[in-house]
Amino acid sequence: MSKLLEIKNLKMHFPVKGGVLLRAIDSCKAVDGVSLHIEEGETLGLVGESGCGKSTLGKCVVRLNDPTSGEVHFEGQDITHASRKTILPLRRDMQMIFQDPAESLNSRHTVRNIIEEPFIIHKIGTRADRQKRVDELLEKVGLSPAAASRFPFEFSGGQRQRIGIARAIALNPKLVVCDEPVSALDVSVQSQVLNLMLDLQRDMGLSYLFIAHDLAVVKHVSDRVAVMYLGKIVELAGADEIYQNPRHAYTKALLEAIPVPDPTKKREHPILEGDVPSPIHPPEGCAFGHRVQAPKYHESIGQEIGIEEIEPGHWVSTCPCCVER
Amino acid sequence: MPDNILEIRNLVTAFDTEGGQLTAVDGVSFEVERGTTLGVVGESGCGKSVTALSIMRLLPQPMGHILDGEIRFEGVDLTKVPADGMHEIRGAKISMIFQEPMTALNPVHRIGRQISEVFLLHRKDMDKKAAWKASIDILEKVGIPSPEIRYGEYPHQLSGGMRQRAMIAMALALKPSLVIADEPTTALDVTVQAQILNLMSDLQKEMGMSIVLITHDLGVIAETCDEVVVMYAGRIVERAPVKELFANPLHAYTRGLLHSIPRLDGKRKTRLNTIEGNVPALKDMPDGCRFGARSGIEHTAEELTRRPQLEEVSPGHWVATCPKCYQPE
Repeated sequence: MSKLLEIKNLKMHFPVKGGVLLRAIDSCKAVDGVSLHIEEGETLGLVGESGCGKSTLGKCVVRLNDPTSGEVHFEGQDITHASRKTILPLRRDMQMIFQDPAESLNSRHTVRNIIEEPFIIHKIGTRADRQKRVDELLEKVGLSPAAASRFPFEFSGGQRQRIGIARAIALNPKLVVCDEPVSALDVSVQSQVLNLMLDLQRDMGLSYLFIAHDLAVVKHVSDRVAVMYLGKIVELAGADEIYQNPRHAYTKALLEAIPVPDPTKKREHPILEGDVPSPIHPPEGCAFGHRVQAPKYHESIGQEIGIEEIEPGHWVSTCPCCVER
Repeated sequence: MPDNILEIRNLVTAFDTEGGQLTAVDGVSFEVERGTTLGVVGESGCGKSVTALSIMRLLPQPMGHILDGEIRFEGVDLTKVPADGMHEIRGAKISMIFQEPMTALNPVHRIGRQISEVFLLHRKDMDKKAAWKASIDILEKVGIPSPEIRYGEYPHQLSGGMRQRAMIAMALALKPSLVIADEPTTALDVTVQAQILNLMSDLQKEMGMSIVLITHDLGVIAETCDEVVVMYAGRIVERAPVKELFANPLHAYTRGLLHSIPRLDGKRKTRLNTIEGNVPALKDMPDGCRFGARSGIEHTAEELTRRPQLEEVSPGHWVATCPKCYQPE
């Protein structure tokens, strides 16, 4: 296997403007030094609470955000600062599926227009070819070709998400960034869409960056899982490993917070209090240790917290207050 | 005789639309025992929220109507209470927690003002000072740190979890005997969800209120409810105590739901069980078994036209007895 995508020390800081002249007075560190990679045909799950920067990271990967610093390599090519002209052909290979298909599909276009658009942008095929491809794609995602002449609002949520998937896979991409693709769907429909995504991965050799907050869903589809907290990766390991042997206090807390669909099991552990702190004024030391008032929090103040490999393939933050060694 | 705080008998709620009248809730009956939590689970569009709005008599007007049935709350049939009478019940005796506190709270009023309004409207003996004091107390009770400061803040200044706490404070301000929570944690992160569910169960123990919890998350149901009602396409398909329902689901739809959720202890990257297709549209709902078309089991024409009755097949366990979707061993 080779690395399809590699991110090195990526930072995305948004300016916070204020004062009379609206100058940048501060910055919001949405993504603050993230390094990871995705191999060909692999699914990397990315979990964390809202506001932890996981969507921003996803957008940096496909360059919908311009990162502040760090590097993004796609198939060995540095695309961090690639111009629009160089990035456009690469976008054929990286696509995105969004959370809310009602908002990410243009409601004034027919399904055919929506799925055809990638071919037009990249000037692929004649009109008749495109027609044929759209029909094939609809069939592939489990819709009838008759759907092509209808509008998005005529479909249910699950069907709309299928249209979003058809658009994303239209150009045979290598990487698909999925930002909460099933969180707006009902459970019965959610499992249909997840099955579809797994089938497409197997048939087309897709790699997924799968961003979600539902840990059970993430575990089901992922090969490896990265846990993000306040702009940083705190733990990254194989999907089974991270669920069986979580090392970071935040990963443990997240896992314990999941309601188990079994009424005979009751929650044993205390629940995690508080919210994710503001990325504009993060606490001095470890952001999670501060939230849970970890006894060793003071040790983390002033320390540069990185991430280290403690076992082959199991990376965890070097924070002194959240990881027991 | 169990002490039921709420008894719903054969509730039918419909909406007037351009295409004619559509029945969203079609003959729903259930009871809530005092001090317990009843979960209502089902997919979007199954009528669970409309049931809640019918109890609260908050159906969108003028298109929403309760066509038939009774909603007995502490012995009073709410469907017959005049609109003014409902003002005294709503908020004071029955209150509601909504899914999205950002839309349920008024963005241009301070949190504290919205809470003290509850006291000022319902409690004639309270002046502004007393209402302020009571609001601070209830904010503190729902776990909002430094309530005096939060009192003067606007909803947008609070995090999602804090806003939901503020909503709960408002709903519980007058110590209602019944709280209807419509997807109270769906918009929240899993960690915050755990906090809110814990808070609700602590407050229930302390104040003794009964809860109707509407959700689509079976994990939430398992964790918080005493009894569960499973709704599909406007009707109840199964009803049972929570442990019984998870251990022994009898209706094909309930089984399908339980099997389609990915589990943490399941095998990765395997195909999940699914319920194929979608809920039928309200305008062409069959009279008979409504799950028939999706169940994967061939139904006869008669089964699709004759309404399956809800029967008690073991003590406390009710199931819609469609001969195909419910097959007793």
